[in-house]
Amino acid sequence: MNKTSLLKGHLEMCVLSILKKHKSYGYEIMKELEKYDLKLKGVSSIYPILTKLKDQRWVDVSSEITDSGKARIYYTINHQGEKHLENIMKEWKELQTNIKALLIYNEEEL
Amino acid sequence: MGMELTEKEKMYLDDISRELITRKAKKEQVLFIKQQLLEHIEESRLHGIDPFDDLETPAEFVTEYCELNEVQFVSPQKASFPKSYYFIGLFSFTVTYLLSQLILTMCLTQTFSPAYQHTNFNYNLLYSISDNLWWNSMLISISLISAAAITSLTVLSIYRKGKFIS
Repeated sequence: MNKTSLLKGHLEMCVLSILKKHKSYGYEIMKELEKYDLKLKGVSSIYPILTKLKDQRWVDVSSEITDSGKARIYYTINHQGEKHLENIMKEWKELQTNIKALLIYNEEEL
Repeated sequence: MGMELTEKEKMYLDDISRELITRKAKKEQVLFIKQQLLEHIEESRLHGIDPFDDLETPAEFVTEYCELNEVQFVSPQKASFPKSYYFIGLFSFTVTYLLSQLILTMCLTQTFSPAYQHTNFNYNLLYSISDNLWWNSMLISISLISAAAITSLTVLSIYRKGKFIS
């Protein structure tokens, strides 16, 4: 499994984490991920995730007019979203600990 | 969004639409995905970046999109006809065939005429409505063709209506 495929499974958590800090929009979120070397294969990953977050009611969506007069769609994490983020982060940390323990154990065996 | 698109961008959006249509995506889904792509193109321009730097090929885009959004676009090869439609089809075919045979018996044969007497002829609505062999074959053929045509139209209209509602 390559890095992009691994990232796909954690994208929802990463996007919610970005949104926890501040409201954002699709393009900005994508670039924010790239700052952490979490490069997506393309835009086909980011927009479906945002749609899913909206459909699951983990984010609130609003349209705002930018300085250039363009309407931009902003996503803001809501209370439900924050709760969900807490849960998935907890699960992810547990899983990470378990995998790490397994890898270390097997490494010692070698 | 009302922005001017380059030929390359237009072609890309058309290819995406075509790809989505072959995967039986609904019209509103196609429009929604196109709207998101337009948003990306516009944002890329605002940031002075070529939108195609972050775009996959149309086929890759649609596959990735479906996978991540858990969208179930039906693959044309795997498109299945709901089972209930087979029952509707069978029912429609049987009823139409029998009705057609009955109407043809009444209108085009002398079988039901009180004056008609033919001791060797056994009337059966399914396969024997006339004592004349070629005429009987002809009438059965007419009934079969009518039943097939009406069944096709019925099932197709129900299928289209069902798709429209869903």
